[in-house]
Amino acid sequence: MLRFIMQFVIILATLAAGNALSSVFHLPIPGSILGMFLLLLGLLTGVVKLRWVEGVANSHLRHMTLLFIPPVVGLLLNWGAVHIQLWKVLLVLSLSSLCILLGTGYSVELYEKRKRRRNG
Amino acid sequence: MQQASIAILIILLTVAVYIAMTKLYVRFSYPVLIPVLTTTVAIILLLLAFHVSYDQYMIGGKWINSLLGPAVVALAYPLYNQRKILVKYILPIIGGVFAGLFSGMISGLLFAEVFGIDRNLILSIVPKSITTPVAIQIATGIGGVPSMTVVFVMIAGFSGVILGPKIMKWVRIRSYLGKGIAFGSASHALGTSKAFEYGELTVSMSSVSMTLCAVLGSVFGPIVVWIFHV
Repeated sequence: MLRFIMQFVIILATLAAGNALSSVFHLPIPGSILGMFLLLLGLLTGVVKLRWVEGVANSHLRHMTLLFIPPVVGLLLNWGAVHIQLWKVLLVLSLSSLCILLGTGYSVELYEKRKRRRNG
Repeated sequence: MQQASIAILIILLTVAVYIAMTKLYVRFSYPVLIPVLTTTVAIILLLLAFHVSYDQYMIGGKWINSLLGPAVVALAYPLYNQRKILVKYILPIIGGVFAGLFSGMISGLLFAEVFGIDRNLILSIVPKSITTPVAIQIATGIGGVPSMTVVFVMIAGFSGVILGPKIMKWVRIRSYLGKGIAFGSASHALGTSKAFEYGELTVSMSSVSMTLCAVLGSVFGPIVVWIFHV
């Protein structure tokens, strides 16, 4: 338990550092993303050891769903005040997902073809 | 003092319902039983039964919300674990992720505009293909509605997972690399779980792409919004 708390403190400290960076330099990037970079940098340089954060990072990511409960509860409770046409939103989101699948899939496929031609 | 005990009670309740619903899902694993849905419905029923308002619920709920920041920081861990595969395939990954990120955000904006969707909803749609904790941060930053974004992220994720396999077969995207990066860019964690059907390389590709999309999306999301003056 103590180990777990210590690991969480490391994550929180990184988050605080990221938030500080973001606000001091007025960066448009959220502090949590900067914190992620800092932690990654720490791991890559060996300043932070993997076993210091492994356990807590793993369980935090595995149970991420829990964190989405409060906003979704809020949304469903206030559903009457939400004026959206669901079919429109469904259509927009599906079409856009299609664009991503095609855009990404094609560019990678194209890259692989060119690479194969160059090597063959 | 009373506030604190209400907060603790609500946190415990939410966690308990979540654990119970996760167990239920593991036991039966029907898609309609996904924990986020069942937990939410169960909690709403409890709130209505005991006449608890949303504001009262959020006395504890905001503490759960505040764990989103640490969750984003924790993404460094999978990224670090996959650093070797990231370096090995750096060109196709970066290229694919950029293609996916921009085609997703721009097509989302354009289609939303074409179908006449409200402005604050459009802003909530922009980060829809990015993993939820980061999408919430982006939505907050650009003036969207975070709770809407949570739902949009889920819908976008499912649509990619449902459409993906058929579409990629039709247009003959065969490479496992391409499939993985496409799933990760379009459908975040849901895409990554779908990628398990295509083998390990596809899974790692999807997972790396998902994390990179989140990182790059938080940088480029506000820029795209600014360029298109929405």
